[in-house]
Amino acid sequence: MRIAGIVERLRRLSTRDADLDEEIQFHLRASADDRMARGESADEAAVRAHREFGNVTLVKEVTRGMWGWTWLDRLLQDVGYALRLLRRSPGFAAAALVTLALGIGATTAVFSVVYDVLLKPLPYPNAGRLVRVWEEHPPGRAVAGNRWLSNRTYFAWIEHARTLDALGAFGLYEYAFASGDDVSRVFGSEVSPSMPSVLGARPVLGRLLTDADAAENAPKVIVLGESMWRRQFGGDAGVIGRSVTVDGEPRRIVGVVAAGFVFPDRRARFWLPDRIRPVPTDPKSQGTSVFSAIGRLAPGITLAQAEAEGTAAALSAPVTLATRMLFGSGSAPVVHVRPLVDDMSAQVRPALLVLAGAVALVLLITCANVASLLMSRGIARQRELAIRAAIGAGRGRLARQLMTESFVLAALGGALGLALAAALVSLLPALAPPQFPRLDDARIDWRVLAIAAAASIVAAVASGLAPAVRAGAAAAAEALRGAPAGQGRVTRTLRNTLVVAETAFAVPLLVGAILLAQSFVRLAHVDAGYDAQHVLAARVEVLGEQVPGRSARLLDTLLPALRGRPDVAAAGAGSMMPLSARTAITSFRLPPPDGGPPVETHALTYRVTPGYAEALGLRLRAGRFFTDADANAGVRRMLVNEAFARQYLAGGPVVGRRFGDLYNDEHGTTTEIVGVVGNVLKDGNDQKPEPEVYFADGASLGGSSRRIQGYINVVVRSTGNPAVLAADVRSLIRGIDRTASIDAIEPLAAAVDRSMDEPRFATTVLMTFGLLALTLAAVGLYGVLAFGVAQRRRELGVRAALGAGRGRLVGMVLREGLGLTLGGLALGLLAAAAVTRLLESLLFGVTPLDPLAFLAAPLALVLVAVVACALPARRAATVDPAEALRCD
Amino acid sequence: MVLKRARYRNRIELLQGTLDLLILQTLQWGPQHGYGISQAMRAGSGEVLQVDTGSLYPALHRLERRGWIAAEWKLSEKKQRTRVYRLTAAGRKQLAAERSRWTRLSEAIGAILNARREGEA
Repeated sequence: MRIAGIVERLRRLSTRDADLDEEIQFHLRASADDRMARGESADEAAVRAHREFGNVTLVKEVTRGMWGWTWLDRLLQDVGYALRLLRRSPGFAAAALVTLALGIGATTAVFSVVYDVLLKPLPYPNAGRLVRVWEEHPPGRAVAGNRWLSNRTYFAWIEHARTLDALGAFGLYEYAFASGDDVSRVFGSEVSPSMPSVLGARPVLGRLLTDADAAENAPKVIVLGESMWRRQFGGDAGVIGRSVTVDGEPRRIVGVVAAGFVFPDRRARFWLPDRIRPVPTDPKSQGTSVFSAIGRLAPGITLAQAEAEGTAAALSAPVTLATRMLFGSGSAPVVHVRPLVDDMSAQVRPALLVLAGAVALVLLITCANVASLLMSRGIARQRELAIRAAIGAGRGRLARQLMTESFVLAALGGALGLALAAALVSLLPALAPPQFPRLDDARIDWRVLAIAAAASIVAAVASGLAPAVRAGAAAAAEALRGAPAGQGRVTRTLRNTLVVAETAFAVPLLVGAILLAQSFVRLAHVDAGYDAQHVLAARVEVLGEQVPGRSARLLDTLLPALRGRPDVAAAGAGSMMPLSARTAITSFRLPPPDGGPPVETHALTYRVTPGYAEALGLRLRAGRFFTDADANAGVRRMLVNEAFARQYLAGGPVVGRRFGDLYNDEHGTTTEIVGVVGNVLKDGNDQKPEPEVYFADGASLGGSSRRIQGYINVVVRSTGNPAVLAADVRSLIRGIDRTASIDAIEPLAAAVDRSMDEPRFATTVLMTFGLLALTLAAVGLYGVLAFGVAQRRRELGVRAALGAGRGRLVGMVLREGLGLTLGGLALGLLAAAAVTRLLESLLFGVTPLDPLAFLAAPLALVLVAVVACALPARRAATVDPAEALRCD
Repeated sequence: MVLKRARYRNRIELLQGTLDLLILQTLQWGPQHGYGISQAMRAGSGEVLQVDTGSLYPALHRLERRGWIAAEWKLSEKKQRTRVYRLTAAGRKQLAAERSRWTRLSEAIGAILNARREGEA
C-alpha cells in the first residue's frame, strides 16, 4: 500500500497542478449548471458560483500545502528568487562568480592531481604489495643519488627469499626504433623476465618475456606496449613474428602487453628483455652490475621484514671494488624497501603538497572575498529584508533564504570552477614536464566531482554564514526608516576582519612564491662549468658492424670539415657530454705524491677529441687543453677537474705530473696531466661536483690506442645562432656514414632549458597562485574601503564642511586601508615564517627564511594596497559636502 | 513566505476532524466528486451545513494522502473529466473509529450540557 501510494504520488507530481485546476474548474461549472437549472442566467450563475466557491487561488495554495511538498516549493521559490537577483545585479554576480570559479576550479584541479599522482593506487593488480628495493652503503652515496640493487645482493636474496614473491629489474632508455622505413626515437623499458610476474601483467597478444629471452645468446625479442601496437601497427594481430630494428639490431615481436601495464612511466612504449648479470664464480673477479629493482611482497609480510631479509642477503655478498665505486665507500650495506606508489611520486610529492596547501589558502581567500561581497549586499538589501520580516518572515526563514542564495552562488561558481578544473586537468599532461609521474591517468572522475562539490559547499557555508547570521536582527524597524548606522558598523568590523584574514593568507603564498622564484634564478645561474650559448650538440650513434673503424672515420672526416667553416669557432667530440644520460665512471690507481701505496680513485671519465673543451667553453684553470698532437703521442694525455685535483692530487704541482700504470690491465703506460679544468655539473645544475678526468681521444688506454666509438657526442661552437648549423651538420654526417643513427641535433641551450623544466613548472604555478592571492586581497580591500567611503558619506561631508582639506580625507582612507593591510601583514609574516620550512626540499641556494623574500612580499602587498586605496581615497576627497549632507 | 490563513466565515464552523468524518461518511454511499460531496453534505444536513470549499478541497487531498480515500479521473454525465473519490478499506476502518469517537464525544458533551446542579429540579 505504501509503495503503491508513493508510486502514485510520484506519477501525479508532474501533473498535479493542472489536475487540481481541472478539478476546481469542474466544481465551478457543476455549481453554475445547477444554478442555471434553478433558473439563473448563464452569466449570473457563473459569477455566483465563483463567489460561493471563494478565492480559487487561496484554495489551491492551501490544498497544495496538503501535498506535503511545501519545503520543496519554498526551496524552488528561493532558488528562483536568488537567480533573479543575480541577473539583476550583473556586476556583483560576475565578481562573485569569477572569484568562486577561480577558487573552486583551482582547488579541484590541484586536489584531483594530488589524488591521481600521490594517492590513487597503481593500476597493477596487487599494487599495494609492489615495492621499490635498493641498497645503500652508508655513509657512502651512490652516483647521482641513484637507487640501485646490486646483482650480488639480488642473487644472494632470491635463493632463499621468503619475504618477496618476485623481484625484477627495470630501466628506461631511449632507443632508435625502426619499423620498416619509419625511424624514430622512442623510450622503452628494459625489464628482467621476472618483471611481468611482479606486475601481474597480461599479454593482449602473443606472450610476454621468459627467462629464455634473457639468456646469453638468446634470439633478440621485443614485447610491444598496447598503445604503440594500436597506433603504429594499427592493432594488427599479424604483428607477431614480424621484425623491427632497435638501435640497429633486429628484434622479433613476440607479444603485446596490455595498456594498463605501461611501466615505469608513460613514456615507455615497449619491453626488451634484460639480463641481470650472474655473479661470476671466480671470487676475485669484479662482475658487479647494478639496476633499479621492483619486487612484490609476499602476503602478510611487512616492509621491515623484507628489509631485514634483504640486508642479510646484502651482507652475505662480498664487497668488491666495483661495489665501492658504484655505491660510494661505506661500511655495512643496508637494503631499503618502500611502497612503489610512494616511490614513483617521491620526487614530486613535496611540490604537490606545497601546491595543495597553496590552493587551500587561495580557496579561503576567495571565500573571504565572496563573504565580504555578500555582506555588503546584505546592507544594501536591508530595506527588503526588513519588509520581509515585517510581513511575517521569521529569522529562520530569512536566514534560510540567504543561505539558499549563497548556495546558489556557490553552485554556479562550482559549476564554472569544475569546467575550469576540467580544462586545467586536460591541459596538464601537455604543460607539465614529461617525467611528472602518472599524469596521463589524471582526469575528471567522480572523486573530482566530489571534491568540487565539497569545495563549493565550504565556499557557500563560509561565505553565506556571516550575512545570514546578521539577517533578521531586531533593528528591522530602524532599517525601514533608512538609518542603518548601527548595523553598518558591525558589518564593517566583520569585513575588516575578513580583509585582514585575506591579507594574512596571501602573505605565506607570496613569500613561498618569491622563495621558489629566487631558487629558480639561482639554479639557472649556477656556473655549470661550460657555456651553453652558441653551442650545437649532436648525438650520433654508430651501430651495426665495424663500429670502431666507422666511428674513427666519422670523427676524422667530420671535425676538420666543421672547423673549416667560417661560422664555426670550435668543434670537437666526446664520449659523454653535460646533460646526456650516459654516465661512465672508471676507477684507477694513483700513487700518492709522497710515496706510499697507490690510492684508489674513481671519477667520471670522458674521452674527448681536441676542440671539445673549447667548443663547450670549459674553464681552464691551469695548463692547457688538448691539441691534435696529444691524440697519438706515446704518452697518454689527461685533463683533470678541480674536484679531482683537490681530492686525489693535493700537495705538489698538478700540471705536468706523470703516473705509471693507472688501470689493472696496463703495463708500461705513462700518463701525464696537461691541464686542470673547472668542475662540470654533468647531471644538472643542482648536483654536486664530482671528480672528472678527460682522456685525449686516441690516447693509449689499456695498451692499444683507443678512440671514441659507438656513441659520439659532437659539440660545435658557432659564431652566431647554432640552430642554423643543424641541417648542415646532419647532412655532413649522413654524407660520411649513411647508417649512423642521429639522435637529437639541437642547441645545447635547449637541453639546459629542459633540465630546468621541473623547477620552472613549480615556480610558475606557485607564482600564479601568489599573484592570484595578491589580486584577490587587493579586490577585497578595495571593496571594504569603497563601501566604507560610501557609508560614511555624511560623516565625510560634515568633515569637509568643517574645513578638512582633501589631504585629511585622503589620509583617513589611506590610514584605514594601510592599517588593515599592516595588520594582515603582521599575522601573515608570522605564519609565513612558520610555514616556509615546509618548502625546504624545493629550495636551491636559498634558506626558508631568506630576508629578500620576507621583504619583497610585504612591499608588494603594501604597494598593491595603496593602489587599492586610490579610488576610494579619491572619492572621499571629492565628496561635495552640500550634497552629502542633503541626501540620506 | 509565511501566509496568513484567511478564515472564511461559515454558518457553522467545523473542526477539522469533524469535516474529515463527514467526508468519509458521505463517501460511504458511493464514490463522488468534490462538488457532489459538498452538495450531499448540504442536502444531508438539511441546508444547515454549507461546506466552505476552502476547507473541503484541502481536506480531500489530505485524506487522500493519508490513504483513507482514493481518487481517479472519470467522465461525468456531461462528458467532462472530473476527479472522483471513493472510500478505501482503510478509510472504512477509520470511519468506524471516527464515528465511535464522535458518539462518545457528543455523549460526553451532552452529559455536561444536561447535567443539573445538585438539588435543582
